[in-house]
Amino acid sequence: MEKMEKKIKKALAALREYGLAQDAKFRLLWHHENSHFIRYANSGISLNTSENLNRLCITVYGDKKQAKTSLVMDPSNLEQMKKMFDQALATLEFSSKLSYQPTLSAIEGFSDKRCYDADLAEMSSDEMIDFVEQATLSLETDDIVLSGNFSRGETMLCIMTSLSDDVGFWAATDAQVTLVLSSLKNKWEVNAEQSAYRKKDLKSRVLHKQLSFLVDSYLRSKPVQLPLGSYRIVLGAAATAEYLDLLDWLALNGDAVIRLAGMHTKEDLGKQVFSDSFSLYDDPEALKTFAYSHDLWGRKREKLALYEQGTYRNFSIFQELADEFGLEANATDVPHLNLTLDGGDWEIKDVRELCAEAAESEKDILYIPYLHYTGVVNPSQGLVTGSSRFGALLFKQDGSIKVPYNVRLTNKLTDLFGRGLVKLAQKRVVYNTSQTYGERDPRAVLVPKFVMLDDIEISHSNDSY
Amino acid sequence: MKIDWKKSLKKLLEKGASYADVRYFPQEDSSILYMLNGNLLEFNQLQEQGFGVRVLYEGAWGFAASSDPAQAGHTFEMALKNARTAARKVKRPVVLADKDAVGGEFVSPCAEDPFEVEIGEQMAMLQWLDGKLNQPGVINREIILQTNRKTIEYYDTEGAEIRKHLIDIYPRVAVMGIDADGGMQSRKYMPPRLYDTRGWEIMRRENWDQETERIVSELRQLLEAPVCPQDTRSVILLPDMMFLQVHETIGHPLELDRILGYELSFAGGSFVRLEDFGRLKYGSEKLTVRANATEPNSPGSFGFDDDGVACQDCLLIDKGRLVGAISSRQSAGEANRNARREIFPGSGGAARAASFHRVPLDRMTNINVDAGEDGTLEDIVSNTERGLILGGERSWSIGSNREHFHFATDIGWLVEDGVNKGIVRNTSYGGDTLEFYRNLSAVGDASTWELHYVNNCGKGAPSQIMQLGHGIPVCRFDRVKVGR
Repeated sequence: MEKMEKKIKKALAALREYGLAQDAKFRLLWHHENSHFIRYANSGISLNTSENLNRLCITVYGDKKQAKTSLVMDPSNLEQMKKMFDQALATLEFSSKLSYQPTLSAIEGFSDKRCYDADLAEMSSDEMIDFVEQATLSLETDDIVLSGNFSRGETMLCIMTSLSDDVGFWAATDAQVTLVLSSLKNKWEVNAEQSAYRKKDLKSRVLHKQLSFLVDSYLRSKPVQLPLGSYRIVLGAAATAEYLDLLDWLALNGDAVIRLAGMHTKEDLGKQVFSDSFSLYDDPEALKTFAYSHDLWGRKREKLALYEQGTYRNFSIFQELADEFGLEANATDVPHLNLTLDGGDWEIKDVRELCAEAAESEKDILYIPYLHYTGVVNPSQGLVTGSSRFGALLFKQDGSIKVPYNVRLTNKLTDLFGRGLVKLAQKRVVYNTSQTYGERDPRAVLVPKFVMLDDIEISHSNDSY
Repeated sequence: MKIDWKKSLKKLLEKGASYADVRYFPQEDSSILYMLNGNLLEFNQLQEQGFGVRVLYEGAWGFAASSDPAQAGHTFEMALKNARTAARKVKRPVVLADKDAVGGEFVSPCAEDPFEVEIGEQMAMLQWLDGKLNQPGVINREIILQTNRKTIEYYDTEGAEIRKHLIDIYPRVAVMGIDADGGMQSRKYMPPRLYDTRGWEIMRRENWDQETERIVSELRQLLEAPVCPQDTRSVILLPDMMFLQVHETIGHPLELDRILGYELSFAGGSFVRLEDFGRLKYGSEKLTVRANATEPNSPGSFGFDDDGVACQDCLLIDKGRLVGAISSRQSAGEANRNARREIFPGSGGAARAASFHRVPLDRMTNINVDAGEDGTLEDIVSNTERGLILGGERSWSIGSNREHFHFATDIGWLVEDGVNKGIVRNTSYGGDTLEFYRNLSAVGDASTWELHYVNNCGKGAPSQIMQLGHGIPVCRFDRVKVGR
C-alpha cells in the first residue's frame, strides 16, 4: 500500500501545482483499486480475474459554476492528467450558472487506514480457492453444484484541493464471499455469505455450517406452495440489509427528502415512523462497514442518529445539497453511509432455534433470509416489493420444517418496521452490500442476525422453484 | 507506448494456453450532463483507456486488465496465471463453439458526432429543454444527456483482428409533481429510434418540442387522476413499457449463460431448461421474438461481439414456441454438449463486455418482438372490453428465475367497452411469465413498432452495465392482476 500511496500523493501534488499555476480553484479525487475475483459456476471456477485501475476526478469551480473531468488512466502519465485538467477548465467556461455557489473548502488532512489489512491484500488465489473448498467440503454432489464468488481487493481514495496542500487519504481492504449450492434436478438454491475487512475474520467453517443445515433441510423436505395471506416472518441479515438499502434510497438520502422524491419530508424529522425498537445510525466507528473517519471534504465524521427508537432524526446532507438549499452539511459526503441497526433483546444465535420459537408460538414462522431484485413500487408511500430466495424455510408449530417455494412481499416500509416489527436479535452480523458496477466501493451494513415481523402479507406465491 | 498485441498473444500459446484474446481500448470518451431544476449538477467528461486479456488454459478462464500500458507484460502473465489457478477446479472444461477467423471493421452509424458539438450548443439545448419543462404543476424537472464514443481493437489467437468505432447518445427528460395524496408522480421521455443514425441529430429541437409538451400535460392530468383500481383485466402495454417487459421476462431468461447456471449467485437463473428448446410454448401464436444485432441503428448492433463473432439475427420465439437463445461461443458449445444434441448451430454472437476491464458475458443485443396484424393502438383499444393501457416504467421486480414479475408504471388509461376512459395513477401489474405471454391476445401492426434503447442493463459478477435495444409493438395481454 505504501508504495501506491506515495505514487498517488506525488502525482496529485504535481497536478495541484499545475492547477495553481493557472490560478484555478479545484478539487482532486484519486480512486485506486486492486481487485481480485474468483467466480464459481457448476462446481468449477468459471472465471479468475485481476484488475488494477486508477481513476482521477478533477472538479473545477468558478463563479456559481463547476465542471468535472474523470479519467481512468496510467498513473504515471502526468501529461494526460494535465490535459484533462485543461479540459475541465475549458468546460467550465461554457457551464451554465447554478442558482447557488458550490463550496470549495480546504481539506483537513487525514489518513484513515483502520480498515486496511495487509494479509487480506496479499491473499493469493490458491488461498481463496482453499477457503471455498473448506466451506463446501463434502456438500457438492452430481446434483448439488456450487456457484458463487470470492471477491477481494484494496481500495484507496486520496483527495486534495487548491486551497491547501493537506491530503486526505483512505484505504481499505475487503472480502466478499458468496457461495450458492443448488440442485440441478429440483432447481432449489441455498446460499451463505461472508464479509470481512481482515483476513482473520474469514471463517470457512461458519459458512460450511450454514450451508450444511440448509442443504440438509432442502433434501429432507418436500417443497410447498404457501397460500396467500398474512405471516409471521423472520428476516435474515441479507433481507434486512436489502430493506435498509431501500430505506437509504427513500429516507436517508437527503436529495430524495428535500426534493420530495422519497417517503419522508424534512417535516417528518422528530416524528415516530417506526417501532420504538428500531434505531439506525451512520457510525464511522463501525469498522466492519468499511468505515470512513472523515468525509471527502476532510470533515471528521461523528455517529449520526438516523432513526432513534423509531423516530426520524436525520438524513444525509452532502455539501452540494447544503449549498443549494442553505442547509448545513453533516459530513456524509462519503461513497456510502456506515449503517448500523441496533439489536434487540431476542436471544437467538442460530436459525435452528426458530424451530423452538415456532413451537412456543401461536403461529408458524416463515424465515426469509434473502430478497431478490427488490423494486420501489411507490416511493412516496415507501411501498417496496421483492421475492424470497436462497434458503427460505417454514418453521411449523409442530416442530417440523418445510421448504416453501419463493414468495413475493409487497409492503410499505413503515408497515414492516412499524406495526409489523416484533423483535430484533441481540446478536448482530455484518452483511456485505457491495455492488461494484463501476469502481470498487466496498460497503456493508451491521444488522441484527434475525428480525421478526408479524402480520406481513404475501402478495404472490410461486408454484415451483 | 506501442504494444504488439498479436505477439503477446502468441507467447501465451507457447506457454500452454489453448486460446487467448485481448481487447484494447485506445480511448473511450464519455460525457454526462445532468440538469435538475435548471441547475447543471453534473457536467462530467470521462476518458479511459486500457486493455483486458482473456486466457483459456486446460479448460479454465483467466482474465486480467490494466489501465497502465507499462504493465502489459505483467497483465498478460497474470491472466495466464489466473487461468492456471482456475484450472485447479474445472468440472466442465470450456469448449468454444467454432467460428470463422474474422478480420473486419464496424463503425456505428452517426450523422453528427456528439463529441464534436460545441459545449455551448449542448448547454443551449439543455436550457431550452429546461424551459420547455418548467411549467406550472412541475416541481422537479430533470434532463440527462449521456454520450459515449469508443474505439475497440480486438485480437485473438484464432486469427481474428477487428476494429470497432461506436458512438452512442442517451438523452432523457422527466417531470415530477405531487398528487392530491402527497404522492410523487412522474412522466419521462427517452426518444426511441428516430433516424438510421444515432448522434447529436437526435437532439434536434423538432424531436423534442411536442414530446416535452406531452409529458408535462400528462403529468398535470396524473396529479388529478383517480387511483388505479385493484382488479383483473386486460393490459395494453405501450412500447415504452413493453420494452421492459420483454427485457426482463424474455431477454434475461433466454441468456444462455443464465440457463446454464453461470449467473446463479448474483443475477439469478432461468426457468428455461435446455430440453425446452423447440418444445416450450412460451406464449401465444402471436408472439415472435428475435435477437437481432443487425438492426441498422441501435446500441444493440455492434458489428462483431467480444468473441470476434459477426452479429446476427437469431430467432428466439417463433409463433409462441421457444427456438433460440442469446448465446456466445462458450455457452453454445456447452449447451450442445450438456444436451447431447445440437440445439445451437453456433454462437449467436452475443458475447459482450461493458469495458476493457470486464469479461464478455451472454448479453442482449436487440431483443425485438415482430409487429403483428391487430392494427393500430386505437384498433386494439376499440376491441378491448375491460382494459388498462400502461406506459412508462416506474419500478420492476422479477423472480430469481424470471418466472414471475411485478411492475409499476408511470401512467395508465382505463378502457371500458372499447373506449379510453382517461388517466389513472399508481398503476401496477404482475403475473407469472409463461401464463402472461400465453395470454397475449393482440399485437399491434408496424405503425405501433418502436425501437427503444436501454443504457443501464446490469448483469454479471463482477457487475457490468450494458447498452442494447428493443424493437417493440403495442401488445395486449388478458386476465392480468392490476393495481396491487
